[in-house]
Amino acid sequence: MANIIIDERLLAINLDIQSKEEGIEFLSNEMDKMGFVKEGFKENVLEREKKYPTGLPSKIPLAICHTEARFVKHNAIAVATLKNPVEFNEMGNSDKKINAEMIFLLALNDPKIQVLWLRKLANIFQDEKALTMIRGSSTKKKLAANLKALLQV
Amino acid sequence: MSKQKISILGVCGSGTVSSSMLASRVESILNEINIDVKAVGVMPQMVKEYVDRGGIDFVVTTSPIPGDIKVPIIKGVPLLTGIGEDECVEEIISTAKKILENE
Repeated sequence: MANIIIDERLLAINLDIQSKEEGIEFLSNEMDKMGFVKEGFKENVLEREKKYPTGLPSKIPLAICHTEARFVKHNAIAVATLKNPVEFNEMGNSDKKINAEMIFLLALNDPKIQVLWLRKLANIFQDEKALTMIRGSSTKKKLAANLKALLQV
Repeated sequence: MSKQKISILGVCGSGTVSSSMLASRVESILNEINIDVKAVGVMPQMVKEYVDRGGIDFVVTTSPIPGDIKVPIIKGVPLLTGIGEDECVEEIISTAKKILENE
């Protein structure tokens, strides 16, 4: 379960953005600065989001952007809570839009060995209390602590 | 019932993250009722090939799947959001049971 990195440098509170692209770019750049992703990661996430949208109509709507393992060096998760919601297309139903209040950007180099971790993450998306806790984190430090507690990293 | 094992495909755009989430959710749902699950995560365009090769009982997906797929396809987004999840779980269980009864 180890080796998924949750780092304050990959988190943002009330990020002020106008579009999903801006959010993906911001979080991808942070991943890149940390050296966790390879060249082309950002472009690929943006491209993939168009083709296979990741907006989830959960109790607090959010997006789980990600891309293929070949663009990833280290397993990590970047999270931004948003000042104002931005529109994403809904996963599995591109005709529908959701107003995401949070963006999760996942970098996973081998999802098959991270199944338990992904299961925990999926559980969070269904858990209104957990989502409220993440959404309401007032500092990066608190957000990191909440994520670590919820994911038991 | 002769067979207590089900093989499924979890499908999402990248064949990685959401498909693994779906696969692990289906696994825990069916393990609860003593059905073993073998799950593989794949991309939409690989589904037809996998299914045509045989051995796949049904597909759970977050993305539209191209081609003529000869096994049941279940929309899996509710398993990720929890919204409409009960119906989705019901569909998975009844699909699995039907498959096992027809073996």
